[in-house]
Amino acid sequence: MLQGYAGRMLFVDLSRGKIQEEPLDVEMARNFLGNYGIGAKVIYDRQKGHVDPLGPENTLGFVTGPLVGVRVPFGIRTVVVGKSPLTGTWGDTSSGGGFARELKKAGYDAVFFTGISEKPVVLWASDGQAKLRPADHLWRLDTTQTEEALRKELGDRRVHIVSIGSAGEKCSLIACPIIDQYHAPGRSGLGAVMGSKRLKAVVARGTQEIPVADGERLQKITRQAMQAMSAHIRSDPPEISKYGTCGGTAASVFSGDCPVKNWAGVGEEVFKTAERISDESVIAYQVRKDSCPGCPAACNGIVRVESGPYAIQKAAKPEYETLGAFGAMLLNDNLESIIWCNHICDRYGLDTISVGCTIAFAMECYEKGLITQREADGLDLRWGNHGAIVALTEKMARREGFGVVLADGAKVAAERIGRGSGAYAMHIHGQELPMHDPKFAQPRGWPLGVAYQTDATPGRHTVSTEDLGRAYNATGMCDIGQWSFRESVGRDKLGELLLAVTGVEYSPEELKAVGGRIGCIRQAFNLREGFSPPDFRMPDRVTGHPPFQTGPLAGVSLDMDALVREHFQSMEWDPETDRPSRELLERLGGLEEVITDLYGGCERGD
Amino acid sequence: MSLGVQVKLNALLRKYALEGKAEFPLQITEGCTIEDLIAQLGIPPSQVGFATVNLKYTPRSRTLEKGDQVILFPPLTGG
Repeated sequence: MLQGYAGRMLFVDLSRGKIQEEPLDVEMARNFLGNYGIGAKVIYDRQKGHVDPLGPENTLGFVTGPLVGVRVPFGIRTVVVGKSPLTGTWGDTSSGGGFARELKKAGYDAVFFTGISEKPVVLWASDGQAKLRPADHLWRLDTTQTEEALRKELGDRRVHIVSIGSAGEKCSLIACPIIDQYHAPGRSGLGAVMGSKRLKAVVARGTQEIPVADGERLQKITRQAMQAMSAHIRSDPPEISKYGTCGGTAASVFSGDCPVKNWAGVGEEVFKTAERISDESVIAYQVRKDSCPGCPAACNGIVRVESGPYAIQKAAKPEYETLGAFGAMLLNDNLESIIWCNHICDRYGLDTISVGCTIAFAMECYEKGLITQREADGLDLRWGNHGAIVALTEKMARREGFGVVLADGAKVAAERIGRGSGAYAMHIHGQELPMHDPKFAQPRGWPLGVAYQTDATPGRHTVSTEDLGRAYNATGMCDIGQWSFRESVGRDKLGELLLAVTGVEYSPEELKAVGGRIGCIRQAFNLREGFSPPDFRMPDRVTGHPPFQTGPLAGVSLDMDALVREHFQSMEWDPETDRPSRELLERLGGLEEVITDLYGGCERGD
Repeated sequence: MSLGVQVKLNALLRKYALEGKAEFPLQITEGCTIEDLIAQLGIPPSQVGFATVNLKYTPRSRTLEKGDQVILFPPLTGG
């Protein structure tokens, strides 16, 4: 058996209430490492094409990686995978918190759910045992209330929990699960899949040690890595350890990195007061730092708003993406309202990027006269009107009034509103775009335009377009850890770490092959769903057609057709069909099903 | 010979501001590059992510001219 893994996976059929345990397939683990790699391999092999994302046949997975739970700093990531109800494509999304580590210590590398339970249930995984528990009494509770109730009834404060709030229960297409109160695997609408299955929560508690191949060597490597990384995360800009990700908000707005006013504006000219929602302004509300278990960076924080309409005793410090979506995108410099909106999204289980961007869409429609104040439940949707922003967030969370129109994201809202409003819905294939402008990033060697448009999960920013980056993502190390490890230890040192943990010698070429397989199998999932390159296009406004006339991105347009063609050619994927070449698939190995489906007269799928 | 330029320090670089002002005039010597200006202000080079001159992104090796407006940005984060 491979070291560094719990060695077992759970498969839960919610329609029948059956739980099946399977040993982890060693060859699969070697070929796909973990997280979205194993998630994609399992779902691709076991699920046919064209299933209803909210139906019983869609598989929903929670997957860990080999660097999770083995005392590797930053090895904490939970990846949630499944067919996305928001985009209809492959969907993956990841988050920190303690759930992945706990699931592994409970004895499981992953848990996959199919079917639909007749009544709400919770899966309880604890030290090698798993069972379904009734959850009727938890339905309609928010995520914090759910966690509190579960901790009480299980009599254990140390459990780690992933749960949904009422947004997921009501299958809002921008709903997400929440891990340990404040961590959101936000993208792809996979909270709606949990809700459709009546799966209220998954709870894990484990005490078992995960065996590693060479504990002494691992300790030495991690000690050296931490020495190198600690200066990087503590003092080097952007001072992650002090600020978390909020430290760069103003710089992102002023530089043109952060989209402003529903992507119609750029830079300081349009949003002069970005410093009110950035770095020192944010941590002025922080009452204590917070971290994922065992993390030396502690990029999270708990904030308090003492008084006023948004007074709250305890809430999560907003991340950069949340500050961008509820701040710059809406010209809203009222930080307390952003803290409140973030809190609502955590409680109800909603993706802050999608909610903020959908409100930006609504505000632009209002400005253009496509929505009246009466239609918006009397709310004055002027840019920057924080009272209306908060009210709309609450309406979306509860699926009430005008919130019903917006609760499934900007694309669906535009379809409901009509009147040409689709021109102001800034999404790719249904997913609202993240808070990094590809017109800023792409020319600086950060290929976000290509990532948004070509990744199997469209519109994701924490993905890599390179094979080695995909392998890093599959280990379970968080983005900050990956970045710091690459910068201060060395991007080619991952193999040494994996050798000490798993006992498998991964050369740089083999790691790239792992990333290549992950890219191909996720792509094959989308091909099986019938998607082709023209299905994935960013709005012209996002790609700079026409370009801004003023500001830091003046004159910048992206030729996405050329960029995507060049990327596909470098990947050995056909730019016309999106198909990875047969030669590539054969060379990578471990992709026999994909070869059969794409080139060998497929009998599977639809 | 010295030249006058206008400097603006953005976001987390404000702590290096002269006399507490994030935006200020600065005298530099002829032939001064952005890199030299960063050193003159006592900012560790790793603290600067990128720079604009007259609102256009530019490499640090660029030589500055009289009246240029220089904006320095810290490295950015994701989220």
